[in-house]
Amino acid sequence: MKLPSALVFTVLLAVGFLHCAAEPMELSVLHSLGSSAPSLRGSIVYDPASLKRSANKYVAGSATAGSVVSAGANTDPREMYRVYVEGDGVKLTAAVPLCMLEASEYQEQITLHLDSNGVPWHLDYLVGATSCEKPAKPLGRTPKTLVFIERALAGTRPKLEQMVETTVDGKPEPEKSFIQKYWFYIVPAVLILLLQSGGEEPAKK
Amino acid sequence: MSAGPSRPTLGFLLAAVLLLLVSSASAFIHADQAGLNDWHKTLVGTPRFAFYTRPARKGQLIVGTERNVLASLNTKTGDIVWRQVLEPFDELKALKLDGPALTSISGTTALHTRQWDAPSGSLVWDYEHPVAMHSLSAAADIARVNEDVIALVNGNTITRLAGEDGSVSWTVTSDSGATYERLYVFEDAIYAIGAREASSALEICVLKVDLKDGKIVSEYQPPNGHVHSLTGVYLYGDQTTANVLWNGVDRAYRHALGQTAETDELDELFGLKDPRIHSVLDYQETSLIVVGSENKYSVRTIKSSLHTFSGEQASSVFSSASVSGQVYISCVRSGETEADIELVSLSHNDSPQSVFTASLPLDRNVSGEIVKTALDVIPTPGDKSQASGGPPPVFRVFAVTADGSTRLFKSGEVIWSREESLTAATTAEYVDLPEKSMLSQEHDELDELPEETASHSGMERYLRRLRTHLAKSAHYPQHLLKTIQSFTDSKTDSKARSDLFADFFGVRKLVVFASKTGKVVALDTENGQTVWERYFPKSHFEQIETVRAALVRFPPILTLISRNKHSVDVKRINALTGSDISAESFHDIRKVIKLPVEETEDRTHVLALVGNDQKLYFSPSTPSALEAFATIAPQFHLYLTEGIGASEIEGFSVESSNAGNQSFSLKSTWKLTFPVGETIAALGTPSPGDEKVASLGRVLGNRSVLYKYLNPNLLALATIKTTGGVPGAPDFTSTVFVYLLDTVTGTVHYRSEHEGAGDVWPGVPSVFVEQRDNWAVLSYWNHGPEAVPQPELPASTGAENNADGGEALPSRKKLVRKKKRKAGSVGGAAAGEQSLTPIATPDAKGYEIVALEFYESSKPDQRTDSETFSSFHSKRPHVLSQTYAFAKRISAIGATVTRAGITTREILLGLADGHLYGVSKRLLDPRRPIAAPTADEKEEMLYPYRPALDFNPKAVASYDLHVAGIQHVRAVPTKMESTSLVVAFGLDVFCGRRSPSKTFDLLSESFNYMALLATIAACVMGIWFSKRLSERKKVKDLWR
Repeated sequence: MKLPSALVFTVLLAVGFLHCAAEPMELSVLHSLGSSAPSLRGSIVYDPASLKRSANKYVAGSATAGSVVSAGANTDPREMYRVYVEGDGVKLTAAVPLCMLEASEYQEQITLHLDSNGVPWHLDYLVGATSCEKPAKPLGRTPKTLVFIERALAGTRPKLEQMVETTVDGKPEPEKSFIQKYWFYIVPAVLILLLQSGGEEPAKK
Repeated sequence: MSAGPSRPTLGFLLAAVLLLLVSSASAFIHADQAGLNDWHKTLVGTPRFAFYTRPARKGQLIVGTERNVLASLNTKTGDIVWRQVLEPFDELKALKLDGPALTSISGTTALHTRQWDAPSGSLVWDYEHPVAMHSLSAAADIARVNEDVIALVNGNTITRLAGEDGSVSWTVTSDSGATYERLYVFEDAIYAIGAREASSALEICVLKVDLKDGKIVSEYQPPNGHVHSLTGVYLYGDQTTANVLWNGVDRAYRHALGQTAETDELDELFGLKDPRIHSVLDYQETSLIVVGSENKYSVRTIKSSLHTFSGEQASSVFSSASVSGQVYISCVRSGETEADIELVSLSHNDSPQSVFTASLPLDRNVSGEIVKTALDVIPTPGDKSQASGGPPPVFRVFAVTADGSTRLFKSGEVIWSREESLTAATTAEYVDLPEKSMLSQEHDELDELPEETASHSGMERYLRRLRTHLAKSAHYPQHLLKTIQSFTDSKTDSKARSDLFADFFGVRKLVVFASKTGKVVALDTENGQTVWERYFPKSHFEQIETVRAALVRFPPILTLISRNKHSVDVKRINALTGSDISAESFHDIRKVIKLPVEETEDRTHVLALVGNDQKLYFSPSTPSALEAFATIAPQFHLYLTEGIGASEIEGFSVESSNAGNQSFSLKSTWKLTFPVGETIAALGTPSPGDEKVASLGRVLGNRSVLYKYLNPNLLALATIKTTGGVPGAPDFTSTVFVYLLDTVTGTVHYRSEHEGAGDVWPGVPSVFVEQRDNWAVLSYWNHGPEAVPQPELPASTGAENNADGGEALPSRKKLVRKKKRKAGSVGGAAAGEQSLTPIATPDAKGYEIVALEFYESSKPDQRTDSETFSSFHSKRPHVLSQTYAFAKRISAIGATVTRAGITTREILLGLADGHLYGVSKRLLDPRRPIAAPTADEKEEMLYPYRPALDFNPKAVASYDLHVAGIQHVRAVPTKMESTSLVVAFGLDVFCGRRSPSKTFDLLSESFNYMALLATIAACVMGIWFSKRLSERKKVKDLWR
């Protein structure tokens, strides 16, 4: 009785995992400017079990990042543009100054940090600009939102040297004798010596 | 014609001689240099237990301290005869001296009863009590019966151990729920006195155990046994009775042990009004009770009063000693500038009499009042004839003061003192001494505001300058003489100086320690001597900030920050004298931050105090401080965390409101809650602005440059996540996570997990982080693969921490491509391998040190294409990492600091076995090649990777000294680029110099100045002589 129940459990677990792994997660993205109430902007689709970058993407909704700005016209350019990622028990937020978002021509980078269970625990929201000053000549970049998923890296460890088994029984090979080790040098040398010694002595004057 | 070529030849010779002389300098010290540039203070801590013994007429003082040290002190000099330093987690709970046998009970996670040989300090036996871990916080007590040891541990267990070898005779455990703390042996029974929780107070419990077989005879609560705490419970015995006395909730009582239902009120028994027991002094077979009533103290037995001390009862401390049948009791009363001592002699036959009264020198502002004394009376030939007017006995009083320091008084004088308060130091700060010339008139004008200078006429300014130079020239002959003297005698004792001015090399500074006992001590870094000391009652210092360095005409100012229950006190003192300047008190303060701005009135740095109400307060609380902060407020960000053990960290910006008075409040910008189970184990510090980085990049073997990621807002920290019980338990797992955070945005730039890593044992911190420039070093203990948590998700593959800001999670194809390109990308071996394959936890328990370095890009010669740096930019650092195993237990970590940051850094490790150990940053380099080094790597002089950092005895900064209990390591630059001044403290204090790249800018001690002078003189003579010859030749040639 025990074996079948364990088997059923394992199968269920595997199916459950596959289901989970196969199904990408979707979280909604909201945004706000300053202290205004957040409004829906789009969603993030990501696959916690996938390594593919294409598995994570931002799906734009009806509103764009710029829509908040136009809604709150004449706002302080140093006001913080705040992004929220919500859904599935997750509520994360991060912000950048609005002027930097504008200076970057809406080049955004959203990074979701996943814990060991694959659940997002932290959000990074960064932009492709280093200051509020807009470039003298606009680069004309199209707004782009990149989504990244980060997990904890495996930290480096001391690379300890492992003992290597060289023979079948695990014992080191017995030490070879001098002749065994260097016969390929000795034999040609001896041969050369032997062949050279065959020469006749020069005739006596 | 001949003089021309002779000059370069001689110059070259001179340079060669100089080079030869200079090259003899070395980084490692020679045996004769030990103690020349360093000093070491061996300390024991503030005594909790102190005993005098007098084996064979030679006095010995044995102490057991708050720092878990057992030591024997030489009563004549105060030097340590022997010292046994127990582990920080091996808390000393009880100590008893009985003849030559010293018995101790200690431990927090495992309880040990140990017997030591008092004359030598050697361990005789050690017994570990088999008790459950959860109840180990209870106090312990020791009693001795014949040779055997009776140990009360765990609050409920009494064990009889054979005095010879520590073998167990019997063990008994009471399961009544009461917690016992005291033992008393009377007749054939052992009495344990304790208490159990009653409705509003504690109720005294008595446990009677048979001495022979350990059977519980009875367990009961005497009537009226309600007390606030067990500290007010005393045991008293004489030949006929054993009693427990206590200061009850309203009155004091006596209960004769064994008489279950009897309790007497002390006011009736003693015939005193409202008596309160002060202490019970041991006196061979009989005890003596010190009882206070109506502001007077009296000494008595249960039956009769023996002596009443005169004077007020406030802050009196008593101790007793007996010599040849006579008992002496000392009563010490602390005043403002001195302490009064009264010595009373009691004997069986004669009536008690006061034999000695004196005033002891004791400044309350320096050490606080006396809180504990131990009396020793030296037998003198005239001792017996004293009653008939013979000479007074010679007595010694060992006194512990409120600041934690100790001193010994003999016949009214201080014989020696020990600055044990340094063992309670929580922080230390270096103070640069003022330059002598800075205080001269010459610089007075530099200190003027430009408008003030402009108000003087040119002539007036010229005359003033002339006066300054004349005044200085008067000192010149003296200065010249000193300089010549220092050349001829290289070992001139510069340490005996009493003036507080900086020396030429900048190695003389003050190091100011502030302790949790309220003591502040300034030591001279050259010789370790105390320059000044102060005691601030009811202060618990946790931070010191230098708010003003030594400036022209202004003394340096230190701010001491003390945290009390509800308030934070900010005290400003003169760093050269310790005198008060000002004091402020703030309520509900969470954190104190030194701001990078100065107020204009006193030119001191402003301190910002973050209140629990999310508001900013400033010290000094003046309008000018507020104005100074207002200039930086828009860019000001700060982060707050409760520190080690916290699971959150939060970032704030500042909002100003101009309604009425200008005020500033915090606005949360980000909050980071670590994943479930993770708590902060160690915090680095973002690079301070005043620390210099000599080079922006690292030049590689092929002359390309790897640019450093120098983000002033980058914070390195480590968190720990453990499950299960203690290390070794089957379900125990432990993981250390390393984070790199940007404190402005809350961005997590790097997160790595080290599975199986953690603290070596609960209560023994092993995770330390040191963060400087563009690197961080982390240490932890590796518990091995058995402490690795089981994965909840299969194959948790790490993402490449990427530099290009482009991608965070590369595809497998790309990873393979990257691997192939390894030769092109620098440090690829370390970072690439870190992310590609799951890394196995080494099956070798031990300390590991992780070296992390952050660069702007993985590829050389690539930088962020911008003039400004922004924390909001999507560019992330490229992190290189390598880990090394280290064989020694680490207790503290620090790093050397040099003036211009050119010298290679040295990581300073405080080792648990009593060493301050330096590891060159070149060894803790994540770019050490794992495979055979390439030509470029050889050119760069990288050491090939080795998994273990060897212990190099030559790199021990404290050479053969045993510097016990290092908990903090602080370094400061000197005026020499090669040299950094280092102080390590915790229990002992060690101060020395470190030159990680050897003393390239300093001549060796054995440098022959006379030879140099002689060479120069010979050169000058040679030049002069050849010039004469050449001139003569020229003249001759012209006449020809």
